[in-house]
Amino acid sequence: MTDRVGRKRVTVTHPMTRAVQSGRSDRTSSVDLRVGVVEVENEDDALVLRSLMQAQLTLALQSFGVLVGALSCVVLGLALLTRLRPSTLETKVFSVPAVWWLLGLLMFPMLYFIAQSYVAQVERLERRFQSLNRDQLKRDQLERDQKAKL
Amino acid sequence: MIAILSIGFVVVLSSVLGALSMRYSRTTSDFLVASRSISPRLNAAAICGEYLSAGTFLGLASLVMVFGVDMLWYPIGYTAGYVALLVLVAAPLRRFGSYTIPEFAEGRLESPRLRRLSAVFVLVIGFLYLLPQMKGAGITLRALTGAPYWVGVALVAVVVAGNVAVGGMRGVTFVQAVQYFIKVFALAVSAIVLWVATSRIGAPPAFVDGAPIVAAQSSVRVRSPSVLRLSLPTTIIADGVVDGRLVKGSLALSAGVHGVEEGTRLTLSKGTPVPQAASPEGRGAITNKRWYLPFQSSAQRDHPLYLSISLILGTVLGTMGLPHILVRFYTNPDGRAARRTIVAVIALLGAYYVWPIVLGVLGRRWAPDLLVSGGTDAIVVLLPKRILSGLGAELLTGLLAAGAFAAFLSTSSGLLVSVSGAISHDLSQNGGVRRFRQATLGAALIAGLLGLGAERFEINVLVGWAFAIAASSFCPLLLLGVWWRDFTSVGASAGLLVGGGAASLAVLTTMFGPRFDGWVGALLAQPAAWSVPLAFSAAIVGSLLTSTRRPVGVHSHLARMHTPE
Repeated sequence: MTDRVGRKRVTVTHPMTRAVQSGRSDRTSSVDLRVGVVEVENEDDALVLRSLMQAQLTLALQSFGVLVGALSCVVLGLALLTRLRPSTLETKVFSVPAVWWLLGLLMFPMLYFIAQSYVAQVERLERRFQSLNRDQLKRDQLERDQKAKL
Repeated sequence: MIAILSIGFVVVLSSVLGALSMRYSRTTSDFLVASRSISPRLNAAAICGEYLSAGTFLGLASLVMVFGVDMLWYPIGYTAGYVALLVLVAAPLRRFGSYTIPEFAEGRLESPRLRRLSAVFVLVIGFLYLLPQMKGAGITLRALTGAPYWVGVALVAVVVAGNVAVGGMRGVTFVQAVQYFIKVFALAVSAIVLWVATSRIGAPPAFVDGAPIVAAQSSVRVRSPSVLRLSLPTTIIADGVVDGRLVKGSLALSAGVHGVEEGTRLTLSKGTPVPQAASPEGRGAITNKRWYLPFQSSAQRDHPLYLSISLILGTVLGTMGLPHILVRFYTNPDGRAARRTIVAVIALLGAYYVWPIVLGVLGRRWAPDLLVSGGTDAIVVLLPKRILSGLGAELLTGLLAAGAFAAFLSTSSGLLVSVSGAISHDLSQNGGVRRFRQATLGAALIAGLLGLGAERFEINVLVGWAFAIAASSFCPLLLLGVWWRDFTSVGASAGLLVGGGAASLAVLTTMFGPRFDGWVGALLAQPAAWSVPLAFSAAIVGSLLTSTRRPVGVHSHLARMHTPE
């Protein structure tokens, strides 16, 4: 009967639901590392979070470094060859210049390999975090912070 | 005829699938992200279906045909972009749980104003990316049927507007997964058949002294006043104005530069060298040696090494900032699924990019006369009839036409969903499904009108610019938002305005401004190498200056993004 007094029906799954407010009902972690659902107010939670983020960031930067390194090697390598030994670039493999094989074909499996190995590592990292003891994590992070101060 | 039928088939298929899925599109959430119920594999195919646009279906082959090996950096950058996206932001963004980039901006930095500013950049990137799709449709239909340019543009704008307004994202997810397979199948089959045919019947006569030569007598009408460059003297049959003189009949041309007026018809006989379109200050035609060696194809601009590096940077960092791609991972159930989806995407992309490259190489062999007019963007659909004849050629042309339209429709749908979402949910308050539909129709109309004026730009160059702007605006926003505690909304706005603004200005100047040469021209044509660092600096300095305005919930936001499910 509430409809009669002018209340409109509203869609529950509305995208205006602010990201901040949307709860994480789909989390199914059995381990007590669900910092995401609690406010990170105390020092302990902040510590665990910092440790987790640091590990994630290190891994992300490593993999990105591999990507950048691989791309720069190819670009700069080709640029150097162009300057110093242009004749080597005319080498043909199965009647197609080797550069074309490299850039047109071989780069793609390489990129796939970088992506695949990152996913394997990050999933291992996250499994480890979920199975680790919270207290252990805090102790480790405190130790690292102390070392950083020294 | 077969070509028209197959275009019709793709258009009808897209519309029917879209309409069928309408039954499921009940809520706004269904509309925007398919209620997050899509499986990783289907989602990977859909992401590729959406990502592989006119730029790679038509534009890549065309660029390879004209400029050669330097253009292979485009597909490499487009694929490496997913690696960057994967390792830097994918899982955290999915775990954060917002639907679009503007929503992420607002949620993470707690600023509604930032959401609106981000939405403006969604529109800039979205429309710039829609242009080449419209152009692709216009020239493909013209190449196949002789219809005027605007017919193809109007067709795509109308079909996509209808599909998106009716089915929203839920509709286009299935459609796009199907469209990925149509595209790969069309390109792979054609490339293999045409390659085998070429080796059977033998390639056309070899190139003379490094200049491409005409495979079979052909006739070209010059569409706009242009400068042609010849590396060897030749004789052509002209009807029109060449070098300021009215010519009708046979004409001997010396090696060097010749001006040709609009509307002139040139007939090239078999075995003669091809005059190539060059910019007025052109640095010479691209001989075959310059074509197949890296960092040589500087016929258009100076500093090819800088251009290549900046292009790679823009495409690698721009991928994560594309509004229509990011919204797709929110259709994954969790961060882990988002990552696995991206790995599948990288594999699917690698399996795709080989084929347009092969077609581009074949194009240079079989259709060098297209280099005269510079109108090579339709080479993919024109190629079968250059090599084969009869039913085989008709069937392949039909297949490629279907694939090309699948490309225009899928990318345009995804972009239109994002652009309409930005208008109806970010720039205005309380947008419901009806507002979304109105925004869709309006945006499609604007995109169509802009598309009419896009004919003179190379398809893939337009796409590259959209990436460069995305890299200079959203990439810093997302990266710093995901990883940096001290990021503030003021810093984010500064990054968007300075980096995104500078890149947009550079692109606009290159498109419409006077022509610059040397370093200035190169820096403006590929801005990413300087505009991305500029954007990061502005964002970081802005945040450090306003460290008191750190979002209240920053710890909880970061925890949500980095905690595994």
